[in-house]
Amino acid sequence: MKKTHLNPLKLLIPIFCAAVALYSQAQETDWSKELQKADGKTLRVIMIQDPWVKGFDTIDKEFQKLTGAEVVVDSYSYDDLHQKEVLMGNNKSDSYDVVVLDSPWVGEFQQGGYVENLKPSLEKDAKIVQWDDFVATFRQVADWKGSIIGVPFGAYFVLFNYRADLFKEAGLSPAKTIEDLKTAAKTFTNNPKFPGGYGIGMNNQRGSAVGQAYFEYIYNFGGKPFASMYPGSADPYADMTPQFTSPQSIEVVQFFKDLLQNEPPGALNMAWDQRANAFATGRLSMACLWSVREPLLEDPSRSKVNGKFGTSVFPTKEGTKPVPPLGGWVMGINTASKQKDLAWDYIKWFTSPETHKKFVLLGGPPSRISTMQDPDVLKKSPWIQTVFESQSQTFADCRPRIPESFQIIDKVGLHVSEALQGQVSIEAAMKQANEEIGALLKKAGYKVSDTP
Amino acid sequence: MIAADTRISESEVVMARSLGKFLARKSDISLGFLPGFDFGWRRFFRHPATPFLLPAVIYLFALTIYPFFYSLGTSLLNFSLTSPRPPTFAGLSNYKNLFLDDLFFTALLNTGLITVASVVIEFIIGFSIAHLFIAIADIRASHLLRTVFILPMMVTPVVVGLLWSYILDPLFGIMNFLLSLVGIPAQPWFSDANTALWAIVFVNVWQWSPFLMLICLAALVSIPRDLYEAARIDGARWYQIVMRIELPLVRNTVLVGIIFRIIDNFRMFDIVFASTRGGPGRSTEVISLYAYRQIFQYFNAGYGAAAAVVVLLIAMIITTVAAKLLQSEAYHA
Amino acid sequence: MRKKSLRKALLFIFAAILTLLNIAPLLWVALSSFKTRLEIFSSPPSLFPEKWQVQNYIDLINVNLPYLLNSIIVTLLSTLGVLLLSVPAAFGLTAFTFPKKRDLEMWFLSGRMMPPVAAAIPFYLTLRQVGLIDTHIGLILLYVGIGIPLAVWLITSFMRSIHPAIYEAARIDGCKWRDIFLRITIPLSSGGIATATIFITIFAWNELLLPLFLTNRFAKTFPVVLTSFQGQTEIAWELMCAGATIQVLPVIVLTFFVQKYIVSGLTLGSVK
Repeated sequence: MKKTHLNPLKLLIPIFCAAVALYSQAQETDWSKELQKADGKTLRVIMIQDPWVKGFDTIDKEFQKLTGAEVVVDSYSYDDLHQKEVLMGNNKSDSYDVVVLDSPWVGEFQQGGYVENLKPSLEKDAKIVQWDDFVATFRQVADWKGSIIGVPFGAYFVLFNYRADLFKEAGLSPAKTIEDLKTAAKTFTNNPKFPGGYGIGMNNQRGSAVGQAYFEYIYNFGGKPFASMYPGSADPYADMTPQFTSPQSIEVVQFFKDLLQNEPPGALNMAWDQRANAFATGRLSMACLWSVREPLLEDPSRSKVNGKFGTSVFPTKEGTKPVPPLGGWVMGINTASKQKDLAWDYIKWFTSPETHKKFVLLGGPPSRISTMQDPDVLKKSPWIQTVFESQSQTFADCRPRIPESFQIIDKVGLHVSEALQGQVSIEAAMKQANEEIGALLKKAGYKVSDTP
Repeated sequence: MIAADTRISESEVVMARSLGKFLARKSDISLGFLPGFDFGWRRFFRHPATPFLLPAVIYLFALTIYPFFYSLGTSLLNFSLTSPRPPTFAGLSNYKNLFLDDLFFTALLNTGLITVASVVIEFIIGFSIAHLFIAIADIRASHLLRTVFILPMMVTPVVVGLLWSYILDPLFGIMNFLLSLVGIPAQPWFSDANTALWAIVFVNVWQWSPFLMLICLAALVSIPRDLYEAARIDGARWYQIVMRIELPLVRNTVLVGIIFRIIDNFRMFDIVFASTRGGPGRSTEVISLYAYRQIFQYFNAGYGAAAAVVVLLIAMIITTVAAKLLQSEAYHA
Repeated sequence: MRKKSLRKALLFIFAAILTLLNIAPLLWVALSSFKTRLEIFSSPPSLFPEKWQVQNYIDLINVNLPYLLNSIIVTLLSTLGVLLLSVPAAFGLTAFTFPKKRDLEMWFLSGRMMPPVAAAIPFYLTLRQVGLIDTHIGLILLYVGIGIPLAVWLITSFMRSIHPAIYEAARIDGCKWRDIFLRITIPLSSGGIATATIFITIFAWNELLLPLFLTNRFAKTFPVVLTSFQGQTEIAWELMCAGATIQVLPVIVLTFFVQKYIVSGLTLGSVK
C-alpha cells in the first residue's frame, strides 16, 4: 500500500498509512459490498482550500480502486467557494456533485434547496456512518429545520496555543481564564527575556476577521449576541433581538481594545494568516488559532515553534463556563447532481471511521470521537487531546447558521473595527451595530423586540 | 499657435465644416453638425467607414448591453440570491436605501480620493520619468531598462494586493525593516485608519505609473524637435517649455490614458480586498468592494446591482466631462 | 561633449536605480518563491533563501500545467480577436467623419466602465444558457469584448496622428479604403497597435473574475489557481509567489519582443 507521493514534508505518512491499513485490515468494512461499481464515472468534489486538501489525492485513489470512479477535487478559497456554490445551487447546475459547507452557510443552503437531505441515506447506512461517533454539536450544525444536509467531516475548534517554553520560564500555567490571558499578554510584551516578542495576536481586521472573533469571545464572557442565542437554549433563533449593547458585549470589545497594546505592530489589520505566522515564527507567546493550523505549527518548513508550543481549551472569564468556538465543514450532495448515488457512496466511505482516521493522519481535522481518542492519532498530534476536551463544550450556533449570518458578522466586524481604531466610542459603535442588525433581522422576518 | 480654446463648439464647428466639406466632395455624404440631422440608413450602408466599424460595434453592443440591462433590471428588484422567495419589484427603493447608507457615501468619497490622488501622482511620476527615458534614449540599454520599468503593471492585481500587504506589514514586512535601516520609524501602513488609504494610493501608483509613463513617452516623442529648438532660442525655461509646449501637445493622448486610469481606479477592487477589506474601520472602503460585498457575500443581488449602476453612471459622467475636454483640442494640427 | 555624456551617464544610472526600486517588490516575490514559508516570514527578512526550494515550482506545475496552457490559449486567441475587431474600428473612427462620431467614441469607452462585479452574474447566466460554461470559447468571447474598448482607444489615439492629408492624397490617387487601411494606416500606426497589443494581452492574461465564475475544471486559467492559494485560515505564500512569478514571466518575454516595435512605431508616427 506504500505509495510514492511528491510530498517531502510528510515522509512518515506512507508508513503510517501502511501501518493503519494493516491494523485496520481486520476490522475493515467490506467495501466491495457497500459501494456500487462505477467504472468510468467521474465524481466531482468542490472543496475548501485548507491545508489538509493535499490528503485527498492520496485517499481518493483508494476510492478509485474500490469503485472504478475517478474523484476530482477542485479547491477554492473561502469566499470564492461560497460564491461558486451559491451560483451553482441557484442555477441548478451540476458542475459538482459533492459540496462542502461552512457552518454559517447551513441555513442558507437548506433554504435555497441547494443540498440534499441526507437523513434517509444516513438511516439506511447507519452502521457505516456511525452518526453518534461524530462530535455532538457538530452533528447539530448539520441539522437544519429537520433536514440533515451534510456529514460533519471537518470540525474546527479554536484552541488556545501558547509557548510552553516561555510560560514555563515565566512560571505561568496556560491561561484558563481571560484574566490569566491578560496577565500573560502583559508579561510577554516588552519582556527582555522575550526580545522582539509580543504577548498575543488577535484577529482585528475589519470584516469577518474581527466579526468572527467577537462571536468567539462573547459566550466566554457570559454574554450572548441575540436574546435567545446561548448554549443550552431551546431555540437559538426564537428571539433575535440584538444584544450588542449589553455590558458583556461592551466588555468583549473593551477587551479587544485593551489587548492591542500587547500585540505586535499592525495589530489593527491582523487576520488569521498573519496571526498564525506571527506565532509560528516565534513572535507571539500565545495565539488562539483554529485547530486546522496545528499541523502547520508542527511542520519545520513553516514553523519555528515545533515542540515548543502547547494547546489548551479556549479561555473563559472567571466563573463562566467555557464555550470553545466551533467551526468547520460538512459534506453534502448537490441537489442538481446527476450522480447522487455515487456521491453518497463517496461521502459515506470518506467519512467512515476507517477512512476518517487515515484522513486525520494526513492532516485532516478530526471530527469523530473515536478518532480523537485513537492512540496513533494522539501520538502524532498531541493537540488533538485539547480538541477532545473542547468538543463537548461547544455551541452549535456560536455563529448563526441563518442566511443573514454573513451580514451580521460583517456588520459587527465593521463597527468593532471602528471602535478599536478609536474612530467612535465602543458604546456608540455597538449601538449602531444593534440598530443595523436589528433592522436587518426584522426585515428578514425574525422576532426582534424594540427593547433589548 | 498653441492656444487653449475655450469656445469648444465654435472651433469644432469651424473645423468640422471645412473638413466636412472636403470629405463630402470625396465621398458623397453631406454633413450637418446640429441636432435634428437626418442620419439616413442608405447613407449608413454606403458609408465607407461602416465595414470597419460594424463588427466591433455589434460585438461590443451585444456584450455590454446585456450586463447593463441585467444590472439595471436587477437593481429594481428585491432580489436575494439565496432566498427561496421569488424576487419582488422594489422600484427605486434600492437606490433610496443606497443613498441613505452612509457607508456607501464613505465608499464614494474614498474612491474619489483614491482616484484623484492616484491619477495625479501617476501622471506627475509618469511624465517625469518619460522625460528621463527620452533623455537617455540613445543609450541602447535604456530600452531594456524601460521594458523592465513597466513590469509592475503586468502583475495580476490580486497578487499585487497580497504582495504589498506583506511588504507593508508592520511586523513582517521588508518596508519597515528597510526604513529602519535609514533611521525612519516604522509606519503602520495598512493598519491605521489615517494611513491606510494612502498606503493604497501608494500601491496603486506603484503599479500604474508605468502605464502613464508609457503613454507620456509615446506622446512626447511625437512632438516635433524644432519646437524645442525654437523655444530654446527664445530662452524659455524648462517649466515654460513644459507648460506651453509639451502639456498642450500631449494633452490628447495623455487625456486618454488619464480617462482610463480614472475609470480603472473607480473599479479598483483587488488591492483593497487583498489588503484591508475596507478597513481599518471604513477608511479604505471603496465602491466596488461595497458592491462586491452586497452581491457576493450578502447575496443581495438587487441592492448590489443598484450600487453597480451608480458606479457606472458616475464613470459615464466623468468620461463625458473628460471627453468634452478632449474635443476642445481635437482638431489642432 | 564630455559634459553631455557624463550627464547622460548619470541620468542613466539614476534611471537604473529607479527601475530597480520599482521592480524590487517583484524581485522579492521571485526570490520568495524559492523559500520555505518560514523563511518568507523570518524577521529580520532574509534576501536569499538558504536552500533554493525548486520543489515549490515542481509541486505547482505538476498539478496546474493544464491551467497554464488554458491561460495561454485563451489569451492568445482573444488578443487576436480583439485586434481583428479593434484595428478596423479605430481606422473607422479616425479616417472618416460622420455625425455622432464623438458619441460613438464615447460609447466604445463605456464598455470598460462596467464594474466587473456587476458583469459577472449576467455573463454567467448567458453562458450557462448557451452551454459555454467552462469552455475556452466562452472565455475568449468575453475576453474579446473586454479588450475592445481599451484597444480601440489606444489605437485610435495613435492613428489620429496620421495627417488626413495622407488619406486625401491616397484617395486622389484612386486608392480604395481597404488598401489605404492595409498599406498606409497599419504600418504607420504599428507602434500604437503594438502598444495596444501588450495591454490587451496583459489584461487578458491577468483576468481573474470571469474565469473564477465561468470555469470549473476544463477552462480554468492560471490566475484562478493563484488566488486559490489564499485561504481564510492560511495563505500558501511560497506557492503563490511561485505562481506569481510564472504568471509574470511570459509577459516579460512578450514585452521584450514587442518593445522594439513601439520604438519604431513611435518615431514613424511623428512624420510631419
